Amino acid sequence: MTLEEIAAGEQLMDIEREPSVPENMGFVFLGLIWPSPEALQAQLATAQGDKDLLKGTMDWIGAVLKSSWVAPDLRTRLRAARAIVSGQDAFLARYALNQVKIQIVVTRYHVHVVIKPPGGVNPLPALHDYLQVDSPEDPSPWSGEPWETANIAGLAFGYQMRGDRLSWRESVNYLTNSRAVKFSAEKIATPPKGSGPPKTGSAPTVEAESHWFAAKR
Amino acid sequence: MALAKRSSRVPRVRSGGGHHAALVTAWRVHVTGIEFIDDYLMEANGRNRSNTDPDRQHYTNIPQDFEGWGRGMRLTGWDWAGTDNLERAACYHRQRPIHMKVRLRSSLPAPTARTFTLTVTPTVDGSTTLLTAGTATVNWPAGSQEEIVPLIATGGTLPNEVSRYHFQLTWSVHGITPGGTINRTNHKIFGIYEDPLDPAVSSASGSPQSPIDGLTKQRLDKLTVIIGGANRRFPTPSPSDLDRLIWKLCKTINDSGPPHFYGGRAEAVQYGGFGSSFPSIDLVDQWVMWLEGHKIPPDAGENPRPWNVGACISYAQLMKTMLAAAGINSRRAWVIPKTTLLPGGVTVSISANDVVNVDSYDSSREQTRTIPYGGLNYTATVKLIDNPYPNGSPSWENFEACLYYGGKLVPGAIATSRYPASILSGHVGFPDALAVLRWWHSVSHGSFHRFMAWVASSPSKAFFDRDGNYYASPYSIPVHMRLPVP
Repeated sequence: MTLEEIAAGEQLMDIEREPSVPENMGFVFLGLIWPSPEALQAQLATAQGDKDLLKGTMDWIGAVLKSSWVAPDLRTRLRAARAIVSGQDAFLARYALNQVKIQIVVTRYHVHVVIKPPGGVNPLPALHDYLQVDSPEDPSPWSGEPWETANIAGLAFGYQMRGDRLSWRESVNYLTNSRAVKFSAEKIATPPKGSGPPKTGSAPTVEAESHWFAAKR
Repeated sequence: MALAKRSSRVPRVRSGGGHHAALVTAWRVHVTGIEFIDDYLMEANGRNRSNTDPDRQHYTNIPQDFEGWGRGMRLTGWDWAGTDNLERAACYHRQRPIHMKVRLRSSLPAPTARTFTLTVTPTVDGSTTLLTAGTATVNWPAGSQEEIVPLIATGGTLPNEVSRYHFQLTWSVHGITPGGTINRTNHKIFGIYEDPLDPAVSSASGSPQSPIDGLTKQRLDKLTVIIGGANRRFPTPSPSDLDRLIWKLCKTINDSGPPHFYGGRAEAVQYGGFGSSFPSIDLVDQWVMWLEGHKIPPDAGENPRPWNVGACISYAQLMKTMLAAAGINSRRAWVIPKTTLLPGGVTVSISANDVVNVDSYDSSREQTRTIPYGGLNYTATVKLIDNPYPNGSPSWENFEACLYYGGKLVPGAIATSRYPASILSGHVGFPDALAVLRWWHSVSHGSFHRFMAWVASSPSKAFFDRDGNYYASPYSIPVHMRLPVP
């Protein structure tokens, strides 16, 4: 295993800032743009020392990203910063593992992972290669079908056509330029086996998601 | 009389008596042990603190005191062993006789073999007529000082009730001298409707629980006090009595606190969070919802609440679990919101069966439509929009969970004082799922009136009105554009 740093200032999707898109498409680019070292330093938050938040973040990364792609020193790499990615409070870390560049941004309600392998990427196979979407309990391989795609600001955006989602994997969408792919998932806990969905649902506002570290529900 | 004469040859002082020698004038027997048999196995009240008798720690990953609502050690062997212990109860099927195994001990080894009659005369809640006396012939070998009577049964059977009874048993012997009363013992006996059912199985007929598990005195005390009040008795001679029993239980659960409500749960009580990675309480132990409960955040970032919170389906499961313990079948049900008007103006008819999932939640029965907007195709489902969280985030309800029995429904986790008067006066619940949907939709939270809208989660959260117009917030939908209720 070779663990390396990603150069400061490098954007894995080769985009420097979130494109201007219609209101209903703004979510597509959340968690994509990596902040400058100066911005990160300026926005570091005391949440770094919040054991519960850090543990919860580690748990979610461990649930979403295959363990073989989790840096052994991830806990110490994670930084908590206010209003840092897409204007949202987040825990974030990135590294290159065996030449695959991996960028992780965890916000209050989402996990965003950008993957950039050396030879380009096909999003749906990559979903199985890098994320823990497959479960030993699945009677057949999980596909997430049906998928729908759209071209947004020159990038391919893929999403699942579902009503209710009963786990994070059912919420995964991707954004790709064929060289890198961003997977975004909602923090939806998988219900205990055999049980139905929770009674309530919610749509956190941008404000609610942004101010994670001073959050009140 | 012959026995009495021979008994005079027995030494008048116990051997080894020393300074405390007792004067013995006759050969007497008394009861030293009673074991209720052909009953249902009960367990001690459990605290989940240790595996030291009588406790059992079934949930090592839940560091909480269950305060008797858990399952303790299995109660086998003698139910009565010399002194009354009213905290150790027995449980029988209604309309069955009480069977017992009895241990007798004599004051001295019997000098000769003898035969006599043991009689048990029951008084049930002060009544001498509910059950009558039963007898057993005792053959006592010479030299024996202790004998087991393998079976003595009361005359008659328990009433057709789900109840708790106070038994006073008068034990007497006849055919020896001295005869007459030898003991009076006191017991708590439960009578249940049928064999206990598996509380996890929701189906039309239910499924017998095997092995029987989870019957404790604290639990059956709770059940019988709810349905029977102070005298703990609920007659069940007809099916309509069962409906009243179920309604009474559901009403009490809905109108009590604890249980404590929290929407972020499914059937099972979970510790510290929702989902497969958090400890779950087995459905047979749903009774822990009766705990006041130490407060912890139910999910990360939430304000502390009692650890044993439940949502409406958890309340329905508590009802089901309690009924299953008494052998009464009921089913889980979810009433789901649907509308009669589709985007594009097509109207559809909706029946009562269309808006309810019985036994398991089937998301394919939700009313879902693909609604295109702004270059994306939204998969939208009808939801009941609730008032926003304090931070402004929209919230909605996916369903109204109910207990379903005999075609009737009782929603979980909402005070029955909020039910329509006609439902309250009927004492059996809602007649069908459409009635639940209409009422559920009409329930207001303070000044907020709930309404239905199309809610999309994919590809992102979005809301649509009756014509399929997009909204970033459901609260922006004009009142006249909300979805019609069937």
